Amino acid sequence: MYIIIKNSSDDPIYLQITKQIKKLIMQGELSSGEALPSIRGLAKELQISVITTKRAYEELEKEGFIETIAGKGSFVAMQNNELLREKKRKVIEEKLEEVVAESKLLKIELNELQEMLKLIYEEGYNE
Amino acid sequence: MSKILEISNLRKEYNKFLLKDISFSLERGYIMGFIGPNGAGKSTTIKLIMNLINKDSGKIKIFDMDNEKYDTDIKQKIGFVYDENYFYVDLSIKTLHRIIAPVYKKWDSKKFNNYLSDFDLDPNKKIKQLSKGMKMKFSLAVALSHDAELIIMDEPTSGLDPVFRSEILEILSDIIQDERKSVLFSTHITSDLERIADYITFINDGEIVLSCPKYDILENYKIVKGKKSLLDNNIKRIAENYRENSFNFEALVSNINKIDKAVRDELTIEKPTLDDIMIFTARGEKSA
Amino acid sequence: MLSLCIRDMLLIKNHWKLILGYPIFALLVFSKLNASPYVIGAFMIVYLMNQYYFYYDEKNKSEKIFVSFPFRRKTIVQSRYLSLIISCLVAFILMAIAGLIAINFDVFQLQRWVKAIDMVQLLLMTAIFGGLSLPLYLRFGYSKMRAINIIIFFIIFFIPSIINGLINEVSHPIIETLKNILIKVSSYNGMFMSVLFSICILLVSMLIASSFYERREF
Repeated sequence: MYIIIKNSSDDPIYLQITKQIKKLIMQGELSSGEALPSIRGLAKELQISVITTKRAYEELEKEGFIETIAGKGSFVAMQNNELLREKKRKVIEEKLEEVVAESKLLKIELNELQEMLKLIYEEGYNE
Repeated sequence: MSKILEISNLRKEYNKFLLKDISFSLERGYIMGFIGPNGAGKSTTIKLIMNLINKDSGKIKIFDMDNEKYDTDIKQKIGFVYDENYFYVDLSIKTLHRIIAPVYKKWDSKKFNNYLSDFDLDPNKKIKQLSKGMKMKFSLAVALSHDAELIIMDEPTSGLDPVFRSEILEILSDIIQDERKSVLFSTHITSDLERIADYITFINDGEIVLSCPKYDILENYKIVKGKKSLLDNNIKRIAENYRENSFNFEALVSNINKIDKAVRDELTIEKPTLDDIMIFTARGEKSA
Repeated sequence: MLSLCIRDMLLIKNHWKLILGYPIFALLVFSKLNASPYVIGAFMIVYLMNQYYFYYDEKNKSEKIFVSFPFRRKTIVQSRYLSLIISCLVAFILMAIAGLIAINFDVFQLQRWVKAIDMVQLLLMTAIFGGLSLPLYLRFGYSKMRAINIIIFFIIFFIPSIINGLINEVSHPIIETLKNILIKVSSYNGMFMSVLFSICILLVSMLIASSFYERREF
């Protein structure tokens, strides 16, 4: 599991961990039921306080991304596929809202926007 | 889980130094950094915990037992590392092993020898032939070889280079993998604790300034800087401490939201390091 | 507690050669004096061994470690007294062996080998010395007490010779009484009482030293 802590980031460390794990789950890098490192093990790996990893895991559990079983550890929660798709859509929606707002400011029409989208998407596809 | 160390209203008068009303506690499974400037009272507090000196009043409970009444039972489970080597320098590590092993009921010779080889310590070498860092590692090997539940370290890394210090810190975070164990680590080198400490207890001038989870400090406290004209009574009141010169001021604030937004927008806001906190508390103006 | 005594032995291991040399030196020098060379030679060895124990503790400041170990302060004090007794026995054996060799090879013009009364005398001298100096050491540390302890040592060291000298050369009612007491002490009963008395001195001293050490700060 690939997690990096940036000291320069504005986000508190526990939030950085939470965001990164969320991303890994949504991207499918971490699959349902997969075991996560123990909070102490992760703290040691990242060389941070165990309180921080504990808080990160608690946040993830609150949002339904992971489950902690006493004595066994933490696992990626069985993701409700509908819910997961919802979450993924939301991420893209937020980004698109930004793009749309910017386009309107620059007076770029919808069909021009759609063409640009198609070009960029297919460009990535052909590589 | 019950606390592994509980100190309440500890008081000690010592030559010209006074330790007053010291209270803090540590739970199992965590590392606590005990920081403060030189002369703040760290070593005195640790000596009181280890019963090397007598307290004037107050209570110290370790493993839920009074530290004076159950002194030897408690010490079976404490591993200690002091700032200097106090083992006989003319004796070899092997000889010292012979002297120390029967002292602890749970002494594990195999574990001790493993540590010696991990730390690259030759058992035939005399203590006086070891460098400062290796002497410290030897002390640590002794402290870790009898299943101690509380590891107490009094400025163990002063005088050691950063490479060494980071090795020691790794060893400490290894110890904490066992949730029953705790580490109390006093130092004035705050960078050692920036990452691995779970709790920070800050002592200055014989008093506890704060004792809380490290992230509370680093995420809630902020350093605000700005023109001197912006330093009003409100900031002076809510700041933990502040400093000013002819042009501008700096203040350590625990809750940034208490400053008006209008004022806040004109200020530079930074995350403090533990060093900042120590410097501000030791040298700033005490707020009302 | 035994571990602490072993520590003391291990500490002076490096000085063994020197310690072995003293009996020979003692027999050579003290056989001319008015007291049993075995006794005062052994007493000198006891003194030296004891000095070394405290010297090493002070040099290394290692008391800090031992008080941090799971030892009762009382136990640490007891081990000092036990080490003293052990050094007493060791010193006596060394003198006895040296004496045996010397007599065999007919050197040093020794008049006799060791007798039981020698051990008793040694024990008494050791008890008085230890009884006085150990509490002082434990309370104030080695360097402060060194001067005083040398004085105590010399006083006790010369007492046998002085007493023997007085008995042989001076005639005085008090000396006569002293002579009678000493004859009584030479009997088996007397020796037994002496040993008991020595042990009592040490026990009382140990109690005092313990109470000092309980509250001592490091």
